[in-house]
Amino acid sequence: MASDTSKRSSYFLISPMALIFAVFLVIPLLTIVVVSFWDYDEYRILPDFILENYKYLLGSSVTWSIYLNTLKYAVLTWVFTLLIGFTVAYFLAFHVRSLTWQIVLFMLCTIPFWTSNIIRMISWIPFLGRNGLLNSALINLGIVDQPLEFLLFSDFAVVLADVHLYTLFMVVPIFNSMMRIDRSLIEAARDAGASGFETLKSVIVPLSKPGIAIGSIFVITVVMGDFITVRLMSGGQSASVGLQISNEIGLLQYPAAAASAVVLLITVLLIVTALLRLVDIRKEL
Amino acid sequence: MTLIPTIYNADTLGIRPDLIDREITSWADLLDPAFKGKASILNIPSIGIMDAAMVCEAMGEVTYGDKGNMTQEEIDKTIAVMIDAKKAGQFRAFWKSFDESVNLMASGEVVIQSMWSPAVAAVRSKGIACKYQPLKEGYRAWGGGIGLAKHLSGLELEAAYEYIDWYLSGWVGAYLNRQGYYSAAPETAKKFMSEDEWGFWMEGKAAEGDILSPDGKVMEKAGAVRDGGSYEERMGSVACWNSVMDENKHMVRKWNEFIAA
Repeated sequence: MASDTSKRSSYFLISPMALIFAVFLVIPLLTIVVVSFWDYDEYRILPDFILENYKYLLGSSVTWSIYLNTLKYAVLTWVFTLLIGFTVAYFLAFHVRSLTWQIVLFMLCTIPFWTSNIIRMISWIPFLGRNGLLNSALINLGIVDQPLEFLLFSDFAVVLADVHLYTLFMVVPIFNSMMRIDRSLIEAARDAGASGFETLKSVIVPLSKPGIAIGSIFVITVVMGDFITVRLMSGGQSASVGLQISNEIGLLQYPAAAASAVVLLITVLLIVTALLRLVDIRKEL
Repeated sequence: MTLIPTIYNADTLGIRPDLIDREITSWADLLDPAFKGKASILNIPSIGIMDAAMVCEAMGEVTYGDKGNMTQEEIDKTIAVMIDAKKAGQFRAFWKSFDESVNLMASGEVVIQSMWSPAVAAVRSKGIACKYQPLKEGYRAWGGGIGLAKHLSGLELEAAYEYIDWYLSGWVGAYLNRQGYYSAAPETAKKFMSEDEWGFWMEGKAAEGDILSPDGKVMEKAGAVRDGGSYEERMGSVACWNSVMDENKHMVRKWNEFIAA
């Protein structure tokens, strides 16, 4: 009886959260799945059960090239945010000795986040443009004699903006993991004769893995679903899955957008599952 | 779906005359290799496809039965031409919103592109030369209106009708005309515009005083003449009208191929 009561009270305690998830996550997701099987014309969505949306989506070469392009952005952004994020976190966690300075420098990293995402992204446009600050400077210094066109409205611009926007998502969890590493382990490694690089490779990186995995999940899911960075920084010339969905919504093609969203969701869930297979985050939290 | 017309206009290419050293006379100039990496087209499929069709027809690449209702084959051919141009690096960017088109032009990233009349005015009001270039093949025209939702009844329906009456009573029409659009009820709009404004926007006359934008900024100095001239000259050389084609779904999919190419 006693266990029955406690069971009932735990169900009671989780019910508010369950209710919120049901109303704001499960039901909307189910709606998307349902609508993805509907038909549509120029102005209306028509309740139905057709496979046409998926058939077109999965059979079209456009879908494959868009996914390839989106994955390219995700992988490039992941590599750069990881390298930069790890380095910054390492510096903060192991080079800066005083807690005050760690906090001050960490806060410094977050300052850009006080402005809006979009503003930080758009600021690159006048900087990188044909007549922008960077090109003017390079020309005035005599380094180039023609403006560098690849700087803006290109894959370079998209990845640059993504890295700029999302590196902090890597810094925070990796820094967090590094701060939990027992300093005596590093001392022990040094006493055992390990070089700095060996310590990094055999002690710090393995113990930072949960942070790396969490940061990677943040960065990859955000970039996989992004549409505004791709649209603005590529000058509308590149496509991503998110942009495709946004275009379909703009054209009132909700069923097509829903089918794209379902496929994207499955893709991202597979990636996250694979990442979680590599690192057991739960064990480390 | 039934709408009462409120607004329409004739669209053409916008250019930066200060950065282009020859006459622009044809839609085909959009894909002239001389403007490689400096051209743009609007990325709204139903409108962009018509600009693309004007270009392909002017180049002699595609012939159309009816540009306003293309066949699948015509759509495919048009998109193929655009994809080739994109792969050759003709386009600097594609734009979707008004501001984007203004910024592309004002910053000099683009020197020739699809454009809307008020966007040309917005570039010019920054003191940057920009021309809404009439072309020999004519304009791509469009129209818009207000429709009533079928669930309206009683007070709501009356309010909706009253709103439409107000919309067509002249103040809005004058506002739209001053942006370079055409009000669907020109007589009422005329009452809210000065003679000089009417002469400049509708009759193709040189402005006697400064022409102000709807929010009061100087848009054109005295002596200026509207690009393309009078209402009759502009609307008289419309080559095609935007429409929702029978092959709309196919068109949007092909357009997405172009953007993703």
